[in-house]
Parts: sequence; structure tokens; C-alpha cells
Amino acid sequence: MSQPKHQARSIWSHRLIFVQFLRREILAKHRNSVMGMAWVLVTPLLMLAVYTFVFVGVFKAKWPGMEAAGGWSYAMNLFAGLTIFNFFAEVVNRAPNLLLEQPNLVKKVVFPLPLLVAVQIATALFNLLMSWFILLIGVAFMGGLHLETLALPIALLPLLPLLFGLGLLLSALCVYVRDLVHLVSVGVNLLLFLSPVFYTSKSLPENLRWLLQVNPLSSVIENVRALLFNPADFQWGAWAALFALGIVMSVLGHWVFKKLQPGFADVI
Amino acid sequence: MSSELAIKAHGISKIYYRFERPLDRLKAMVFDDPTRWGTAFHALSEITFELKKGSVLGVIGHNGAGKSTLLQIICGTLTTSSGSLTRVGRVAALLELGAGFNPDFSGRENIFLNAAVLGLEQSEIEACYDDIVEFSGLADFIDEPVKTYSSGMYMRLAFAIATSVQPEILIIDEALSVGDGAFARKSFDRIMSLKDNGATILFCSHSMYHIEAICDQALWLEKGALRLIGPPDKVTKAYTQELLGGPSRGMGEAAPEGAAGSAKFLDIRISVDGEEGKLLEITPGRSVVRIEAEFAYDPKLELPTLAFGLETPSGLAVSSGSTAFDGVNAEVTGEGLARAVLTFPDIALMRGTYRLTLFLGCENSILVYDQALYCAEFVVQSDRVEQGICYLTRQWNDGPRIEVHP
Repeated sequence: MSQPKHQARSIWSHRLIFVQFLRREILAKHRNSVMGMAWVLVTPLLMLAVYTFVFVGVFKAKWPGMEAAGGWSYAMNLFAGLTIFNFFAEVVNRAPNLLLEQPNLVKKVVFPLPLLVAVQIATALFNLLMSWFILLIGVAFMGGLHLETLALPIALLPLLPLLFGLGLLLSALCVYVRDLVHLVSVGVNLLLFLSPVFYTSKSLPENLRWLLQVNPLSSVIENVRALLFNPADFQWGAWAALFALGIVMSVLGHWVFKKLQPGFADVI
Repeated sequence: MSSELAIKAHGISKIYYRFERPLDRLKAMVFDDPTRWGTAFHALSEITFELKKGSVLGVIGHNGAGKSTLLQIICGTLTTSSGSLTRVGRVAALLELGAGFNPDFSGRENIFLNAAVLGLEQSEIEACYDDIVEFSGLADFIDEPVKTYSSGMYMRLAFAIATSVQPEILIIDEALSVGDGAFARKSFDRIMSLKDNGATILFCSHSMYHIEAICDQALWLEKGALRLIGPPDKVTKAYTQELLGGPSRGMGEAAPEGAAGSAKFLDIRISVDGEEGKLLEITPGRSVVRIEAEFAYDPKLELPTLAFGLETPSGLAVSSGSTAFDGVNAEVTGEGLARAVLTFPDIALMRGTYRLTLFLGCENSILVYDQALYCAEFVVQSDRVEQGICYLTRQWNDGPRIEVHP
């Protein structure tokens, strides 16, 4: 078998494996529940209800610059940020255990392991799309949608290579340093409050703004909000910077993964 | 590499490093210098061999000799530490029960997954799907998650997949010798037909009989090194002799090294009617079989027990016994040395061939310290036409007892 043909074959069969795992991840989670697939919509709805109750119902919070629209605007701005954060957290929280949970695939068969990271991202992406569906209905209810809102996937795009690289890096490192599992979960919790989810970057004091500038999530969240409420605010500079960072991260992650992979079977 | 070859291994070694802390392992990986942080263990050293397409290689050796490591390296789940390995074609492996299955997936999903991992396209998998289900006999359970399967079902499914995808190289670990008789037979036929279709097969086994019956070549591993490779009868003979203790270790020498916490045969002599040998003829009811075994043991242990097992070439157990169960002891002849003599005064076997294995076990006959696998083969000749394995003492019409009779 010639080399290029062999590679084409393996890419095709990887696609098959990818689809299998993705379908599993999405379907199996809900297979034995009474409400079944309805949970993919009910979960974000419940989340939206809880956050709205706490921040709007209890704290009477108003979104700076959109006070006229009332509590609903706060709920929608918060939810927009939360969808991005959850997408990120879902992948990053799972990544450390990804290889540790699959000793069979690591040790017993020759398996394209980076695919597991891709499957996690795709699963999280599916959940994100469900949340966005609810978000869009909410925003439309609030006062109509901009045409630019259609570009939401573009705002998300730079996050994908970043997550892929981060996922590869974390999953490979955690095979050797299990402490990272705990470190990552604490870090992700912290990140929720260090990201502009419950507040906007404009409401942060000048001397703390750098915190958001080093946080890759802030530009994505702010850009998503811009597309939803005020398209002129979209920041292409931050978008491009994040994309570049993402490419660097995925190259780095891939390099570390390949470097550490030969030892996986010896450790797990 | 010649197109005739399926596998070419040149000087392959596998070194494991033990690290005190996981972090040391990471440092070693990153800086590519494991000797600085860890201690090395050579699981395989400098294995070189070639295997022609369509040939069958049997791998033999003690437990821990590196058989599984070698097979895993050839199928690609383990990487070599040094040396080069070239394989041609699709490799399917049956290394461990249920390996590569995802327990939460259904049987159907695992078939597709496994076959996809082996490099099949969707259409190819669909083409052999029915055959896999039929061969495994799991049609009724194919949509259940495989975690609900019994170990026999796991094995049948794994075997059906690995052999249905038309592998060019098939690797089988001995773990596979489970399963009921009917399936074992079916699997054997399947392997032989793959062989006839030109597949290259590697397997490891403790059954010298299987190695001789199926293989074109046998490879003997000892402590990770290649001890001998060649025609199966030659290799199994050398290996069996080694199991007996080897000619160099005679009576009167001190207990060999490595006997701490264990015991080893020093010498085994088997004779029929005074004639010593390995292939012995027996006349039922007349011949006296005498087995003398000398062994060394760690004097800190309780006196080990000697046990025997007799089986037919197909592996059917004919009889067994041990000093522990018979309530006798081996005779202590010195510090850490003992001997036992076992006699069968009128061995009541019917016509056929039988293989004898001796075991040295702990005082309860549970833990096996050493074994002399197939240390003798008995050929029972008889003119009688009755069929079976052994004679039973009997009476007709409450008449006289009819003992074992030639």
C-alpha cells in the first residue's frame, strides 16, 4: 500500500471513529433518562432560570449601558458570557481525565488518541449550540436580533484551536502528573469570576483591566455580546490575537502530546 | 525489505524505567534522559528475527520472559526503546480479554469501532458485519452494552472481529484459550483457514503440542532475550529439556541461585521396567513406571510437595495427584534438598499417548514453584479393541474381579 493512499484511508476511518464517539457522548448521556434528549435544552434553561433569579430577582442587577432594558438585559448578557465559559470549562475540566479514563484505548489498541480531545470539543460545541438557541430566542424577545448575530460562530472560532491545544497538553501531562486534575478544576472555578461573565470589562477599575486582557475568554465573551447587542463593538484585533495564540497553543499541545505519547502505555 | 517478508525485527529492545515519583518520569520524558532519574529494567533485549508472509510463529518461554511485550510491540501498542521493526499489512491482535472494547458501547457499536480502528472503511465493515455476528453467536445480545457480557462472550466477539477483518498479520496471546469446546474448535478452524489464505500468525502458548502442531517456526524467549529460534520441534525439545533442569545441574550441587522463597527441580529420572528415557512404552497392567525427582528448595520454606499430572496430547487431564493430598512427604536428603520416588505398579491406561508433567508446589499444593512440563511421554500399546483412557476394575455377574488386563 502506498503511503498517501494509506493516509487517506486512515483519515477516513478516523472520521468514522469520530462520529461513533461523538454520537455516543451525546446520545448515551441521556439514553436512560425519562426526558431523554430534552435535557440538552432543559439544562441550559434551568441554568438561565437560576442565574436570573439570583442576579436579577435577588440582587436587582442591571447591565451597565443597558439599564433601560431592565433585568432581562442583565440575564441575557450574563447568559451570553456563561455559554462561552461553560463551553471552555466543559472541555478543560474533562481533558485531564481523558486518557486516564480510557486505558484500553491507550494500551490495548493502536488508537488515534488526539481524536478524544476533538470529540470532547465537538460534544461541548453541541451543548453550546443548544444554549445559543435559547439565548437567541431570549435576545429576540428582548428587542430583536441583528443580522450580524449570524456571525456568532466566527466569534467562537479562535477559541477552537486554543482548546484543542490545551486539551492535548492537559490530557498528556495529567498522565504523568495527576495533581493537575485538581489544579485544573480549581483554576476553572477561579476563571469564572476572572472572566467578564457577571460583569462587563468596562465596569472593571482601570488597574485591574490587565486581568481580562490576559484571559483568552474575555475577548470571545465581549465579541459575542457585541454581535448580539451592538455589532460595532466587535474587536477584530483581539479576535486575531486570540486566533494566533490558539494556533501557537495547538502546535505546542500537539508537540508535547507526540513527545509524551510513547510513554502513555507504560504509565497508565 | 523483501516483499516476501511480513515482519522484520532488528535488534528490538524494550526498557522500562522505574521512577520513584511520577514527576521524575515526566522530567525523563521531556529531557529524553531516563537513566538520570530512573532505574532501568530490560523487558526485551536485542530481538532480531524475520518472518515470511504466511508463516506461523510460536513464542514460548517462562512467565515474565517477555512474550506479551514482544507481541504488543509487534502489534504496535507498545513502542520499542531501540531497534527497528517493519511490518507489512493490517495487524489484528487478540492480546487480552476485551482489550479495545468500550464497555459502555453495545456489541454492534464495538464491532464498528474495533473494525474502524483496524483501518476498515464503513462499507468494508458492513460487508463483514453479519459474518462477525454469526460467528460470535451473539445475535441476541448485539445491542446490549458489552459490559453486560460474560468473559466468554467478550472473547467470542473479539475473536470474531479480529479474524473477520482479513488481517494480514494476526497476533494471539494465550489468554485466548478459554471458551467452550465447540467454540474452541471453530476458532481453531478459523485460524487454520486464515493461515491457508496467507495470513501471518504469531501466538504464544505454554502448550508444546500446539506449537509443534501449528507453527512453522518457534521462538524461545528467556529473560527478555532470544534464546533460540528455529523449527518448532527443535525449539520445544530444547525448551522442555531446560524445564527439566538442564544437564549441568546435577545432584550434590548446592541449591541453585534464585531458590530463595522457591523450589526447583534438580533432576528427574523416569523409567519403565528399568528402562530410562523420555519416550517410553507401556504395557498396561504389567509395566512398572518409576519416577524419581530430586529438588532443591529454600530451607526457610516448609517442605514442598510433589505433584503429577497426566494428560492426553489434546490436553484432556487423565489423572493427577500430589504428596500433599496423599498425606506423604518427600524425603529430605540435605540442607534444602529432597527427593521423592513415585511408582505406578500397574498402570491401567488404555491404548494411546499420554504426557506427564511434574510440579513442585508449596506445602498445600496451591502455589507452583517449578514444573517439568511434559517431562515424559508414555505410549501405551495394546491389541485390545476397547476404547477409552483407562481400565476400570470390574466384576460380571458378581463373579471374580477383573483387574487391569493387557
